[in-house]
Amino acid sequence: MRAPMSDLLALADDKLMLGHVQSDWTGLGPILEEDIAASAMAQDDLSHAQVLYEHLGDDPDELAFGRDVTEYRCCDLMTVPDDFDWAIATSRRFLFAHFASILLDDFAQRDDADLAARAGRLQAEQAIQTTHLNAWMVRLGTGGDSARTRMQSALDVLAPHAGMLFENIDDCETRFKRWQAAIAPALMDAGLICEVTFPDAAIEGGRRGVHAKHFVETHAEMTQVRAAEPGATW
Amino acid sequence: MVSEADVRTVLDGIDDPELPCSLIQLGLVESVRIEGDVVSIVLLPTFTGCPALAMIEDDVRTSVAAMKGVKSCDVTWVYEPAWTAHRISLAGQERLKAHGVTTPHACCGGSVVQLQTSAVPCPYCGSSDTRLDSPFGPTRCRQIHFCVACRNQFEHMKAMDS
Repeated sequence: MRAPMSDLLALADDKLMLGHVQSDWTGLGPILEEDIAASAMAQDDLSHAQVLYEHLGDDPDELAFGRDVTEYRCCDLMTVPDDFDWAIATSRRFLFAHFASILLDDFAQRDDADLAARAGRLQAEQAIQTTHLNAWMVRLGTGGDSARTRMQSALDVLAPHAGMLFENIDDCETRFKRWQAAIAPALMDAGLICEVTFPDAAIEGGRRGVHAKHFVETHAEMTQVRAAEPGATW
Repeated sequence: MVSEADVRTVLDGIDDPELPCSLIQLGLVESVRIEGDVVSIVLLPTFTGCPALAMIEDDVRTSVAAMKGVKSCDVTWVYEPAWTAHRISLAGQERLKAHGVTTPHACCGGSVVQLQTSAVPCPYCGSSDTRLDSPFGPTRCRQIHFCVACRNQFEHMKAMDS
């Protein structure tokens, strides 16, 4: 593996876990177009994880499935159970998409030409997600009392976890401000509130390998085949 | 020794697994290099998560390696330059249109964001009274539009030139 690049591993692990979790929605989306969209976004995230892992090491599968729980640097926002609540799934995607977009923009400016090319490509794909999710936050936030209440409840559940996206990453305070500015317009148009506080340095979370029970369970499920049959191919 | 033109002719005979359009017509082939009996081909992915990439790679390797005077064929995917729909050739645009898939050449040539408010002419009736239904279509590189005039859905290749 290349020299530690904590931000890169953090984003790759976020995308791996969210892509895995979001795949659960395939076939269960509330309408056909959004079922396809959810699956496509999961497909994007898994491939983005792969493209970033390929930059970090020779064997993306080993990085994706071969590490101990404490070696993953994802934020546990990714594995908070959504219990098939579409409001949670959509809100989480929205909060994360803007974070991913900021990091990919930064990676695309790096001197490392291989990383910059990869990030540039991923950002073009990420932008489609971000635009789509902005539109859906507004659509659901303004879609009547029931939809608005569900969306606000979802954001209330996710807000405490969302701050941890910025745990232990470079330029965390600046990026936190950029992220808040990025999510604000859609939230304002949607009439929704998401109060996220910058994480307390004393609280150790996923970015430092201290993971919640739901991450450990999701990880166990995700690595089940590999654990049962190391090196299996099909 | 095999020539680059011969290799490109073979690649022009390989269609994308999901579209009636050859790899050359789609603009996926960035370069072809020949050293003795070894051919090295550089391809550009439309989308990183496209499941057809592995199939395309296999098709290319098998077809080129089967050419007379070729011992082996290496395939590499790169992200720079990035593929955009503007790489699709005229022949490719025509084949896609006949299949009901439009390309950004047919309209404003704008980005995905612009397309949400810009009309893409319907490939069936030519009307510009169309709208974007979903930016996520049957494959990662296509989005779904609806023609109000003839009430058909059609697919549009994402520009990806942001």
